[in-house]
Amino acid sequence: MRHTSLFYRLFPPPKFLTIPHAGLEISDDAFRCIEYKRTVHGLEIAKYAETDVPPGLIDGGEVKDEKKFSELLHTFVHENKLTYVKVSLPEEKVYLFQMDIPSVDVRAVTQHVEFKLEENVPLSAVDSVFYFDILPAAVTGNLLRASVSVVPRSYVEKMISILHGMGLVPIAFEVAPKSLAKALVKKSVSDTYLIIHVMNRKTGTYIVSGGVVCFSSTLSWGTRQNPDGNKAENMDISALSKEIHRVYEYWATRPDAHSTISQIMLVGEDAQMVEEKFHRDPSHVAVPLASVDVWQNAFDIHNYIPNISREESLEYAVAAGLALP
Amino acid sequence: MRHTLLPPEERKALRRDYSLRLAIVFFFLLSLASLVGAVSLFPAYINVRNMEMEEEVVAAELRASKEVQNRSVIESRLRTDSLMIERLLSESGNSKPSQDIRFIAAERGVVRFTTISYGMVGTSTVVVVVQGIAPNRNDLIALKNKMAMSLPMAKIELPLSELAKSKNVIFSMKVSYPKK
Repeated sequence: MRHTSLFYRLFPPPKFLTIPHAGLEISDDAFRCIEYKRTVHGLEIAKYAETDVPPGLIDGGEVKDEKKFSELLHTFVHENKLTYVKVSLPEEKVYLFQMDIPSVDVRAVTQHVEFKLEENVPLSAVDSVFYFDILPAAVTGNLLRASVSVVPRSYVEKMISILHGMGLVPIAFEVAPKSLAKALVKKSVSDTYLIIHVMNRKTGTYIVSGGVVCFSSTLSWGTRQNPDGNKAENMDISALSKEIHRVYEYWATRPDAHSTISQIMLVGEDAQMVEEKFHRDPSHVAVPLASVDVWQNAFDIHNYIPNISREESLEYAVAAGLALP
Repeated sequence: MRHTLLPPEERKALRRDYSLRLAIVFFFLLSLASLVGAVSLFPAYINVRNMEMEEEVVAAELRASKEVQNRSVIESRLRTDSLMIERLLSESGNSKPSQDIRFIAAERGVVRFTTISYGMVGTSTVVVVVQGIAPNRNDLIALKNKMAMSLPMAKIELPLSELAKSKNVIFSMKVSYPKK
């Protein structure tokens, strides 16, 4: 344990200054929030909540009926007394690319990214908001590379205006894969993981290397795709299996990728059911696949057992990552 | 902040909000420190106040006591003494040594005085002894004559033992005259 963390645990700064925030996931399927509280033993869950979003209200992050969306979110926010929030952005709204960078100096990299932005995405620097993560040297083979995420500024501003309208103060937006990486990948580990985020009508596949999201794609395959929206017990996982193979092969054959995928992590709604399906037929994947502990970067479940079941916690993976301080 | 995906205006607003919170916490801690300081000084204040009250009681007791009555007697005696001193001073006011010395010094001309001693013989005669060095005998005799003319009632004694020297004559002159 680091001395600083021990110091902060014993003498925590006032809540008023730390601005406690909740992680708010706004996905096509549901609104989910988690808020941690600091205790002498570390983080614990202060509140968590979920409300389903009617099918079609949000599609790929695009709000189809703003009035209905606002009403639903307003109810959710007021029931859970949320003020400061870190909000997830859907992967479909984000452009992710990698680029060589001249140095690790933040200002220099920022300028370089701004300069090269239009070469990589159909957005100008003025019309976009971006951030970058510098990839670990072990992953890039000692090359200086950054993973850049770009979001249309208009989308972010629209979300801000909706959130402000219901009294919420967004302290940050985070792309869903980044939140998942924060929740699922230990900080000191530089291994490469394939995260499968299973949702009702789609599945996100993300490659995270050294904690940095290097690749993301969305498959239109979900666990509740049948018209009645109910869980399909005898679902066909072949499409997902194919996608996993495709992504795995893509990464394995990529010339600039110097780290192979060591584990496939399953999270999201019905992740345990999907895991079970894969385990019934191990020929589907060659790499170990398992649902993971979404609390590993928040607290040790041997010391503190949250009220959320393990199965349910897999749905909260994005919110869990967002809520981390 | 660079990982927030927030537009710059929102970041600025958040920074402002945080600065405000920081200022509030700072002033809160400052006022808390002042309060703690005031509270910690309170016992000392009470102690000093008690001491002051005790001293006031002692002073009141002293004012009423016998010693204070004696003090008024002493004070009246001192007043009497003071009046007597003033009277004596006023009576001896005609004899002012400074004026006499200034007069003698004005007469010296080229002669240099090294010592002037002023004294009284009895209550009516003033004796001034002047010692010094004269450039030559003639100057010294001229000084004696000048003083004799200025003070016709004076008796001037100028011993001639050292007057054999022609230059830088060391002398001692005694001038006696009645008190004015």
